[in-house]
Amino acid sequence: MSDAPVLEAPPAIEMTAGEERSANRLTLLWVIPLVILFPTFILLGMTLRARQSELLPIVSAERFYSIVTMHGLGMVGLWFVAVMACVCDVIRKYVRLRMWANWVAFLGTVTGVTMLLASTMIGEYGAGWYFLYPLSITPAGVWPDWSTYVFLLANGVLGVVWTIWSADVLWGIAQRYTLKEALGWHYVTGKPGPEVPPFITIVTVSLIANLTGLVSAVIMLALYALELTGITDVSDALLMKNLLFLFGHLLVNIIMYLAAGLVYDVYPLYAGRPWKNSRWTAGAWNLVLVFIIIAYFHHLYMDFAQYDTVQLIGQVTSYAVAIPSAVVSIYGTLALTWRSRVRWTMTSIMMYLGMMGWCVGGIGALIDSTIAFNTKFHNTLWVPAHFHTYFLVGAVLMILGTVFHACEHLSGIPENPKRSRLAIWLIVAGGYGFVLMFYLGGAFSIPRRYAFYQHEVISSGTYLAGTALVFITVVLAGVFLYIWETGIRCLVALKKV
Amino acid sequence: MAIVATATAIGSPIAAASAREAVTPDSSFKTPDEADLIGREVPDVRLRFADGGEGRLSELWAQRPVFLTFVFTRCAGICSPYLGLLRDTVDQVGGAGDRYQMVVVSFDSRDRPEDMLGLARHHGLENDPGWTFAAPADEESLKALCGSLDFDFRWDDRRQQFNHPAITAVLRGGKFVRLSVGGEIAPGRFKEMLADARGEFVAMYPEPGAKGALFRCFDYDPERGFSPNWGMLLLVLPAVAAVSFASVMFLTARILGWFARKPRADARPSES
Repeated sequence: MSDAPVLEAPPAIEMTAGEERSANRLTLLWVIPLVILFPTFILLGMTLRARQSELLPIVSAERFYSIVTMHGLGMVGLWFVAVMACVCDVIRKYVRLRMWANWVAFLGTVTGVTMLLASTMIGEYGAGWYFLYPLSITPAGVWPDWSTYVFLLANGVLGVVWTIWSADVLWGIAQRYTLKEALGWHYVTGKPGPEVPPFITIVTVSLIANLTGLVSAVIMLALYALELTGITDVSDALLMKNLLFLFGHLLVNIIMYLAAGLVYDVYPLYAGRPWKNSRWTAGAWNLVLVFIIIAYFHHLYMDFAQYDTVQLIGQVTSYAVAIPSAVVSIYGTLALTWRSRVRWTMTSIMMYLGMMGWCVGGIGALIDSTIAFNTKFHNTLWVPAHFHTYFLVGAVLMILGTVFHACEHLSGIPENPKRSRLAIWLIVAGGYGFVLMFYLGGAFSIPRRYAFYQHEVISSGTYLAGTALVFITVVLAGVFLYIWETGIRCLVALKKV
Repeated sequence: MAIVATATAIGSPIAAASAREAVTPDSSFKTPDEADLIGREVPDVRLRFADGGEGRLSELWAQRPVFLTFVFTRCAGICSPYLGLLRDTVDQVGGAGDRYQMVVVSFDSRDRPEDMLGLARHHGLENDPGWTFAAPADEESLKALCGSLDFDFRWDDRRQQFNHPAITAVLRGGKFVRLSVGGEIAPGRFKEMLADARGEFVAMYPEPGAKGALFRCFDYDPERGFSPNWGMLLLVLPAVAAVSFASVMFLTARILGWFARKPRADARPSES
């Protein structure tokens, strides 16, 4: 722990009853799209695995790729807004946020997601969630031009409102702390300074990185606009891919960092011990800010035109970004749990298991970010294996735990231990079974992004997809139980506030 | 799609015309599209060489990549100036006959080997081993060769000339690799086409006649290799912008906070 003297404890921000009610209402409103869209997107994912397992041969390849697009982009977007809504709910005790920014994000997200659904489900836009150039704007008659425009416009809308939202949270932090304080530099240097919760440091680091990704997306969309309006005839495919993964990799990682940040703040309430900022914690998260921006290079190992030096930087920074944040967070969670009388509830179990799941998925990611392995694994099911791990049994658990924490607190209805434990174990057991099928697929060199497998050639791909369906059905049952438990509390709380 | 600038046999020798939007349908021609041709197999046609011998096109591409150009000796427009420009480029790049072979084939069935020899002499290339001048052995070979490369030429009765684009197609092992359409191939472009034909790495390039990318990660020259392009800065810009934005935001909040806390100068001191 830091030897920096603690000058003052972080006092809670005073809110009027009206402000409190308004903020709580919006937090609860965010739960509604979450509980509707999460199972919907799971069903879309199940359709994909059902097609690959030949249980749903009716799904055409074109439809498969439009579902891939919606499932991937939808899940990433959903968990970003979910974690941001949780962050806004938790951070209110430290800093003052503007409600209008949260509302803009809510309405903009609903608009953007509706446009994405129209583009993919009606227009069959199917360039994948990564929408790599030039496929993204070269439909070759597979999808109509309007769906391309709607898709890009939807991304533009989401980008703008999320930028406003992120900027507002940063502004709230800026009104209370200097940038050095928020980043915890006084802990690193051992100088005196105010007590800054680690949650504030993590949110500051994550949102600066998030703005980096969003600016990258703006540049990419501007280059698309130049080409679509005829100002240029072509864009540089390598530049577009770099911009895309600078944005996409950051967005995905920020979801995990913010989810981990929630654990830093909420889990101690159940462990009965505070999780204070320290030299190691602040130092690790500052390293994350430096390295996360360039770690995305590991997505371009397959691009032979990328400089070799850049590829090496990608490998080094992938390790450099993963180890400090994960080690500090996991060590912190274990230290907080060790010999403390943790109150094991839906929230604390989900947070604990989520943190460990993040570690498991992170190891899978580190293996893939190692060039020697990447040349064998990158175009196989190993990739969906690791990102489903750190999402489904990692960040998602941490976020769901926080959502339940908020709903339970605002409704005043205590949890039903039997139902909540059943929900957790269904999600976790089903989740690990589900991702295991992806890992085995990767180990068997089964290619990813295939709508269906030639049975004679890759029969194991078909069998694994079918088995994965069984496990994801278990997950879905757990999710429905979770939604039941959380939804009731959410509705009661909405009536109360 | 961009309109591809092509030189025609009519009017000014290097006149650029919009082939796809030509006015007279009967005398207009279509310009080949590189994207359609990539990987296409070219028939191994029989040729009558300017030196009097006969052989097959495969004898040429078996040894090294072939830069194939179509001309006709009675051309009053682009053909001869185009060859002159091509010769200058080849002289600057060097390596013809060693790393690649220039092959000039007539698409006019009236042309005989002697006519092609005259054209070679006119450009001082009759004894250059890097250059081969030839006429197809028969009408069928001519049609097959031109058809395989989408080389379109139309007879214009009024002018007594062929309307045709000026093209150079690059072949490797009998398959189409690259195309140049227009009056001149700059040496850099020629080197890039050669690198492509030799199976070396070539960075992304725009379709012939199309506007290139405004920003690229890097430029590529077959001899100098990679060099960063301004587009690289676009990858640095997001991080710089985000950190600057955050710094300004925190600084602004501090300044505003300072003003909010500062007592007004004209405020009356408390009586107590």
